[in-house]
Amino acid sequence: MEISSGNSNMVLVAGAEKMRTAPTDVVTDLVSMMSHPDVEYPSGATMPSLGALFARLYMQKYDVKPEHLAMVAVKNHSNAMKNPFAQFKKEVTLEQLIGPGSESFNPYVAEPLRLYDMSPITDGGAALLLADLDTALSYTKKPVILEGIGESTDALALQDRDDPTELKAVRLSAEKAYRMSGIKPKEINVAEVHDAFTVLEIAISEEIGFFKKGEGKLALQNGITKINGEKPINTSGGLKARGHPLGATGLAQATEITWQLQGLADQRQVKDASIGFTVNMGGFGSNAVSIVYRRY
Amino acid sequence: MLYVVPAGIERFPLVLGIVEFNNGAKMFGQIMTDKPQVGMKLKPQYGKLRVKDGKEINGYYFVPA
Repeated sequence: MEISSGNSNMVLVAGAEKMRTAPTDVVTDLVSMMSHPDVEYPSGATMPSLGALFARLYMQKYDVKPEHLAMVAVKNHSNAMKNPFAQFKKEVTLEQLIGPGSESFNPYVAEPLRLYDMSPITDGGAALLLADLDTALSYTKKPVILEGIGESTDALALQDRDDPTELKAVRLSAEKAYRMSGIKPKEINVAEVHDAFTVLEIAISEEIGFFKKGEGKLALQNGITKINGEKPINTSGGLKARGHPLGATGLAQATEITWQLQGLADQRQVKDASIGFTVNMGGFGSNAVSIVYRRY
Repeated sequence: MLYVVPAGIERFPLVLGIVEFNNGAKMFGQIMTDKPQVGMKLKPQYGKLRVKDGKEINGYYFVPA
């Protein structure tokens, strides 16, 4: 708005979070304050507990198995190995995550979610320089155009949602971004989505129109969401393995898509990527922002 | 079934769920059981939920009916 109004021709947007200096139970409590202050937080709700409630219902409704959740972790850890800015440089295997004896390597945090279904506690920062096109072209031959943006909200408490297996704010924000850009989900070449919990990557891939309801797990297991697949998701490693410094996560997603569209993503580069998409959400899906990007 | 609980919660593991009342209203809360089952019959009680800044926070929780 600052730029499109003509007030400024260049704006620096930055986000950062330092979370690793406090004990886990304190960080967990602080992050939990995003839950409903009257009906969820007093009972001890944490983001993983809300994720677990969502996962239990979603997995039951769409016959999603623990191995599907583990496949998200395996894929995103593998992508993070190719990202010099990722928090985790550690491959994991399905055997380690869900095989016999996996309980010690991958213990339950909030059933049915295990440790490797969670994004980590992260220190991190990200920044983007926004500019009008003329100004951008005076600095680079490869600017990335923000073609569409959408924001939407949902009930804060899970108990107040018509269907707690839906991520309505994500769906509506994506629809707004597609409408503004004139770009359809099938045209997107690469996307970063909010996989704070592995189950969310599968559910969000359906809410943003990449796959039909219940078919996100099939796309995942068929390799369609891998870097060399037809619809690469979370090439950075996602929140799961790149890390989730809350105040920087949305910008880190935008940064990854910018690099992808500029051809600067090195080993994780998606071939011929020209249109990208990000969706980030706050609370447990109570608000979401989607953005569509295009290579100039 | 929550195995990593936030500061101020004394129960471990902590069982949380969404409970549906006879009139269709839904309420999130702690469930006092080691063996939660979808569809199990519960009834509400009032008492201590957690401690925050040294003070007890009271509210509704649920026990098997």
